[in-house]
Amino acid sequence: MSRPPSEPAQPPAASRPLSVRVQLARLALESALAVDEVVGSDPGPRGMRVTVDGRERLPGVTSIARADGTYGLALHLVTWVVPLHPLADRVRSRVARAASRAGLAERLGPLDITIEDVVEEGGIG
Amino acid sequence: MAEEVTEQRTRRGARGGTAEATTALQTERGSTTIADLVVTKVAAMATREVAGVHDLGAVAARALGAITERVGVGVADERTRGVSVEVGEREAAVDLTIVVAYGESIPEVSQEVRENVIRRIEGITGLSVTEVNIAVNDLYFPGDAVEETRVT
Repeated sequence: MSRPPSEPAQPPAASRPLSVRVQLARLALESALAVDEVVGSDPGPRGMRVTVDGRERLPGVTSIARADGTYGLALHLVTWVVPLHPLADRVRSRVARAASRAGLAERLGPLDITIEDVVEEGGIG
Repeated sequence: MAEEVTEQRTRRGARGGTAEATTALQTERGSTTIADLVVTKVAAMATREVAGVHDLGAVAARALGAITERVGVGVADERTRGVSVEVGEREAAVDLTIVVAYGESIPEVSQEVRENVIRRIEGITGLSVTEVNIAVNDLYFPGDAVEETRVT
Protein backbone atom coordinates (compact mmCIF):
# COMPACT_ATOMS: atom_id res chain seq x y z
CA MET A 1 0.00 0.00 0.00
CA SER A 2 1.58 3.33 -0.92
CA ARG A 3 1.83 6.29 1.42
CA PRO A 4 -0.33 9.39 0.89
CA PRO A 5 1.70 12.07 -0.98
CA SER A 6 1.48 14.53 1.97
CA GLU A 7 3.27 12.20 4.43
CA PRO A 8 7.04 12.67 4.40
CA ALA A 9 9.05 9.54 3.84
CA GLN A 10 10.71 8.21 6.98
CA PRO A 11 14.43 7.59 6.76
CA PRO A 12 15.44 4.03 7.41
CA ALA A 13 16.22 3.25 11.05
CA ALA A 14 19.91 2.84 10.37
CA SER A 15 20.30 6.43 9.20
CA ARG A 16 18.30 8.18 11.91
CA PRO A 17 20.51 10.27 14.19
CA LEU A 18 21.11 8.92 17.65
CA SER A 19 19.50 10.75 20.53
CA VAL A 20 21.78 12.54 22.98
CA ARG A 21 20.78 9.96 25.57
CA VAL A 22 22.04 7.10 23.43
CA GLN A 23 25.14 8.99 22.28
CA LEU A 24 26.17 9.57 25.88
CA ALA A 25 25.47 5.97 26.82
CA ARG A 26 27.55 4.69 23.93
CA LEU A 27 30.53 6.92 24.55
CA ALA A 28 30.42 6.11 28.27
CA LEU A 29 30.43 2.37 27.59
CA GLU A 30 33.12 2.59 24.92
CA SER A 31 35.30 4.78 27.13
CA ALA A 32 34.95 2.40 30.07
CA LEU A 33 35.74 -0.69 28.01
CA ALA A 34 38.84 1.06 26.65
CA VAL A 35 40.34 1.15 30.16
CA ASP A 36 42.78 -1.74 30.51
CA GLU A 37 41.55 -2.93 33.87
CA VAL A 38 37.91 -3.06 32.78
CA VAL A 39 37.05 -6.55 31.60
CA GLY A 40 33.48 -5.95 30.50
CA SER A 41 30.06 -4.60 31.36
CA ASP A 42 27.29 -6.35 33.26
CA PRO A 43 23.69 -6.05 32.07
CA GLY A 44 22.41 -7.70 35.22
CA PRO A 45 20.71 -11.05 35.81
CA ARG A 46 17.58 -10.06 33.82
CA GLY A 47 19.35 -7.88 31.30
CA MET A 48 17.66 -4.73 32.53
CA ARG A 49 20.78 -2.58 32.77
CA VAL A 50 20.90 -1.72 29.10
CA THR A 51 20.35 1.19 26.78
CA VAL A 52 18.44 0.29 23.64
CA ASP A 53 17.71 2.56 20.73
CA GLY A 54 16.20 0.11 18.31
CA ARG A 55 19.37 -0.44 16.39
CA GLU A 56 21.77 -1.53 19.00
CA ARG A 57 21.83 -2.74 22.53
CA LEU A 58 24.36 -1.29 24.94
CA PRO A 59 24.67 -3.68 27.89
CA GLY A 60 25.68 -2.47 31.31
CA VAL A 61 24.91 1.22 30.80
CA THR A 62 21.83 3.32 31.44
CA SER A 63 21.20 6.94 30.60
CA ILE A 64 18.37 8.89 32.21
CA ALA A 65 17.26 12.46 31.53
CA ARG A 66 17.48 14.86 34.47
CA ALA A 67 15.52 18.02 35.19
CA ASP A 68 18.53 20.24 34.51
CA GLY A 69 18.82 19.02 30.92
CA THR A 70 21.74 16.70 31.56
CA TYR A 71 21.71 12.92 31.48
CA GLY A 72 22.68 10.82 34.47
CA LEU A 73 24.65 7.78 33.45
CA ALA A 74 25.18 4.51 35.28
CA LEU A 75 27.83 1.98 34.34
CA HIS A 76 27.92 -1.58 35.67
CA LEU A 77 31.37 -3.04 35.18
CA VAL A 78 33.44 -6.17 35.66
CA THR A 79 37.09 -5.42 36.32
CA TRP A 80 40.42 -6.86 37.32
CA VAL A 81 41.26 -7.02 41.01
CA VAL A 82 42.86 -3.58 41.32
CA PRO A 83 42.15 -0.53 43.54
CA LEU A 84 38.61 0.18 42.43
CA HIS A 85 37.99 3.79 43.38
CA PRO A 86 40.97 5.10 41.42
CA LEU A 87 39.84 2.90 38.53
CA ALA A 88 36.35 4.38 38.69
CA ASP A 89 37.83 7.87 38.65
CA ARG A 90 39.88 7.02 35.57
CA VAL A 91 36.73 5.79 33.84
CA ARG A 92 34.97 9.04 34.73
CA SER A 93 37.83 11.10 33.36
CA ARG A 94 37.78 9.15 30.10
CA VAL A 95 34.05 9.55 29.75
CA ALA A 96 34.30 13.27 30.42
CA ARG A 97 36.99 13.66 27.74
CA ALA A 98 34.97 11.63 25.25
CA ALA A 99 31.89 13.74 25.93
CA SER A 100 33.91 16.88 25.45
CA ARG A 101 35.28 15.67 22.10
CA ALA A 102 31.74 14.83 21.00
CA GLY A 103 30.47 18.26 21.99
CA LEU A 104 28.28 16.76 24.70
CA ALA A 105 30.11 17.87 27.83
CA GLU A 106 27.29 20.13 28.92
CA ARG A 107 24.76 17.32 28.63
CA LEU A 108 26.79 14.93 30.75
CA GLY A 109 25.43 14.60 34.29
CA PRO A 110 26.74 12.48 37.13
CA LEU A 111 28.24 9.12 36.23
CA ASP A 112 27.53 6.41 38.79
CA ILE A 113 29.77 3.38 38.55
CA THR A 114 29.06 0.01 40.13
CA ILE A 115 31.73 -2.64 40.18
CA GLU A 116 29.54 -5.73 39.89
CA ASP A 117 32.27 -8.36 39.80
CA VAL A 118 36.01 -8.83 39.67
CA VAL A 119 38.13 -11.42 37.94
CA GLU A 120 41.36 -12.72 39.36
CA GLU A 121 43.61 -12.86 36.32
CA GLY A 122 44.47 -9.22 36.68
CA GLY A 123 46.25 -10.03 39.89
CA ILE A 124 46.11 -8.43 43.29
CA GLY A 125 48.61 -5.58 43.51
CA MET B 1 39.07 -33.48 63.94
CA ALA B 2 37.51 -30.08 64.17
CA GLU B 3 38.41 -27.12 66.27
CA GLU B 4 36.33 -24.05 66.66
CA VAL B 5 38.47 -20.99 67.09
CA THR B 6 36.65 -17.79 66.67
CA GLU B 7 38.30 -14.45 67.14
CA GLN B 8 36.91 -11.06 66.59
CA ARG B 9 38.74 -7.91 65.72
CA THR B 10 37.67 -5.08 67.96
CA ARG B 11 35.36 -2.65 66.27
CA ARG B 12 36.99 0.59 65.34
CA GLY B 13 35.99 3.69 67.23
CA ALA B 14 33.57 6.08 65.62
CA ARG B 15 35.16 8.63 63.42
CA GLY B 16 34.87 12.19 64.63
CA GLY B 17 34.69 15.38 62.64
CA THR B 18 31.94 17.18 60.83
CA ALA B 19 29.82 15.56 58.14
CA GLU B 20 31.12 16.14 54.64
CA ALA B 21 28.93 17.04 51.68
CA THR B 22 30.66 14.32 49.70
CA THR B 23 32.54 11.19 50.68
CA ALA B 24 35.15 9.15 48.93
CA LEU B 25 32.29 7.09 47.55
CA GLN B 26 29.96 9.88 46.51
CA THR B 27 31.19 12.90 44.60
CA GLU B 28 29.55 15.48 42.41
CA ARG B 29 30.81 13.52 39.42
CA GLY B 30 28.87 10.45 40.56
CA SER B 31 29.02 7.59 43.03
CA THR B 32 31.11 4.44 43.06
CA THR B 33 29.46 1.34 44.43
CA ILE B 34 31.17 -1.94 45.21
CA ALA B 35 28.94 -5.00 44.94
CA ASP B 36 28.93 -7.46 47.83
CA LEU B 37 30.21 -10.15 45.48
CA VAL B 38 33.36 -8.12 44.90
CA VAL B 39 34.08 -7.85 48.62
CA THR B 40 33.39 -11.57 49.01
CA LYS B 41 35.77 -12.52 46.24
CA VAL B 42 38.54 -10.26 47.52
CA ALA B 43 38.15 -11.74 51.00
CA ALA B 44 38.33 -15.27 49.60
CA MET B 45 41.40 -14.50 47.51
CA ALA B 46 43.13 -12.82 50.45
CA THR B 47 42.43 -15.81 52.68
CA ARG B 48 43.79 -18.32 50.19
CA GLU B 49 47.00 -16.27 49.88
CA VAL B 50 47.97 -17.08 53.46
CA ALA B 51 50.31 -20.04 53.98
CA GLY B 52 48.73 -22.63 56.23
CA VAL B 53 45.21 -22.15 54.92
CA HIS B 54 44.26 -25.35 53.11
CA ASP B 55 40.72 -24.51 52.09
CA LEU B 56 37.64 -22.44 52.80
CA GLY B 57 34.20 -23.61 53.79
CA ALA B 58 32.49 -26.01 56.15
CA VAL B 59 32.96 -29.76 55.83
CA ALA B 60 29.50 -30.37 54.36
CA ALA B 61 29.87 -27.59 51.79
CA ARG B 62 33.23 -28.88 50.64
CA ALA B 63 31.96 -32.45 50.38
CA LEU B 64 28.98 -31.31 48.34
CA GLY B 65 31.27 -29.29 46.11
CA ALA B 66 33.51 -32.32 45.53
CA ILE B 67 30.53 -34.46 44.54
CA THR B 68 28.91 -31.94 42.23
CA GLU B 69 32.24 -31.19 40.61
CA ARG B 70 32.77 -34.92 39.95
CA VAL B 71 29.39 -35.33 38.27
CA GLY B 72 29.87 -32.17 36.27
CA VAL B 73 27.34 -30.00 38.02
CA GLY B 74 29.07 -26.82 39.10
CA VAL B 75 28.37 -25.29 42.48
CA ALA B 76 27.72 -21.59 42.24
CA ASP B 77 31.09 -19.83 42.61
CA GLU B 78 33.26 -22.28 44.52
CA ARG B 79 35.79 -19.50 44.98
CA THR B 80 33.61 -17.69 47.53
CA ARG B 81 32.63 -20.73 49.58
CA GLY B 82 33.23 -20.19 53.27
CA VAL B 83 33.04 -16.43 53.04
CA SER B 84 30.20 -14.24 54.21
CA VAL B 85 30.30 -10.45 54.15
CA GLU B 86 28.13 -7.60 55.36
CA VAL B 87 28.78 -4.48 53.39
CA GLY B 88 27.64 -1.00 54.34
CA GLU B 89 28.21 2.27 52.62
CA ARG B 90 31.72 2.63 53.98
CA GLU B 91 32.36 -0.44 56.12
CA ALA B 92 32.42 -4.17 55.79
CA ALA B 93 32.41 -7.11 58.17
CA VAL B 94 33.68 -10.52 57.12
CA ASP B 95 32.99 -14.03 58.39
CA LEU B 96 35.33 -16.81 57.27
CA THR B 97 35.28 -20.55 57.71
CA ILE B 98 38.66 -22.08 57.00
CA VAL B 99 40.55 -25.36 57.05
CA VAL B 100 44.07 -25.13 58.42
CA ALA B 101 46.89 -27.52 57.58
CA TYR B 102 47.81 -29.76 60.49
CA GLY B 103 50.91 -28.53 62.28
CA GLU B 104 50.35 -24.86 61.65
CA SER B 105 49.77 -22.51 64.54
CA ILE B 106 46.06 -21.79 64.33
CA PRO B 107 46.29 -18.45 66.17
CA GLU B 108 49.11 -17.28 63.93
CA VAL B 109 47.40 -18.39 60.74
CA SER B 110 44.16 -16.76 61.86
CA GLN B 111 45.90 -13.50 62.61
CA GLU B 112 47.67 -13.52 59.28
CA VAL B 113 44.40 -14.19 57.51
CA ARG B 114 42.75 -11.35 59.37
CA GLU B 115 45.49 -8.89 58.54
CA ASN B 116 45.66 -9.90 54.88
CA VAL B 117 41.91 -9.76 54.42
CA ILE B 118 41.76 -6.30 55.96
CA ARG B 119 44.67 -5.08 53.88
CA ARG B 120 43.25 -6.37 50.60
CA ILE B 121 39.67 -5.24 51.13
CA GLU B 122 40.67 -1.79 52.30
CA GLY B 123 43.22 -1.38 49.53
CA ILE B 124 41.03 -2.60 46.69
CA THR B 125 37.55 -1.48 47.65
CA GLY B 126 38.23 1.50 49.91
CA LEU B 127 35.87 0.05 52.51
CA SER B 128 36.87 0.06 56.15
CA VAL B 129 36.84 -3.44 57.63
CA THR B 130 35.32 -3.41 61.10
CA GLU B 131 35.65 -7.08 61.92
CA VAL B 132 36.95 -10.34 60.55
CA ASN B 133 35.52 -13.37 62.31
CA ILE B 134 37.34 -16.61 61.63
CA ALA B 135 36.08 -20.11 62.36
CA VAL B 136 38.60 -22.92 61.95
CA ASN B 137 36.31 -25.88 61.62
CA ASP B 138 38.64 -28.54 60.28
CA LEU B 139 42.25 -29.56 59.99
CA TYR B 140 43.86 -30.89 56.86
CA PHE B 141 46.13 -33.93 57.03
CA PRO B 142 48.19 -34.96 53.99
CA GLY B 143 46.42 -38.32 53.99
CA ASP B 144 43.08 -36.59 53.56
CA ALA B 145 43.80 -36.18 49.84
CA VAL B 146 43.72 -39.96 49.38
CA GLU B 147 40.51 -40.28 51.42
CA GLU B 148 38.77 -37.59 49.33
CA THR B 149 39.37 -39.53 46.10
CA ARG B 150 37.61 -42.55 47.54
CA VAL B 151 34.41 -40.64 48.18
CA THR B 152 31.62 -41.83 45.91
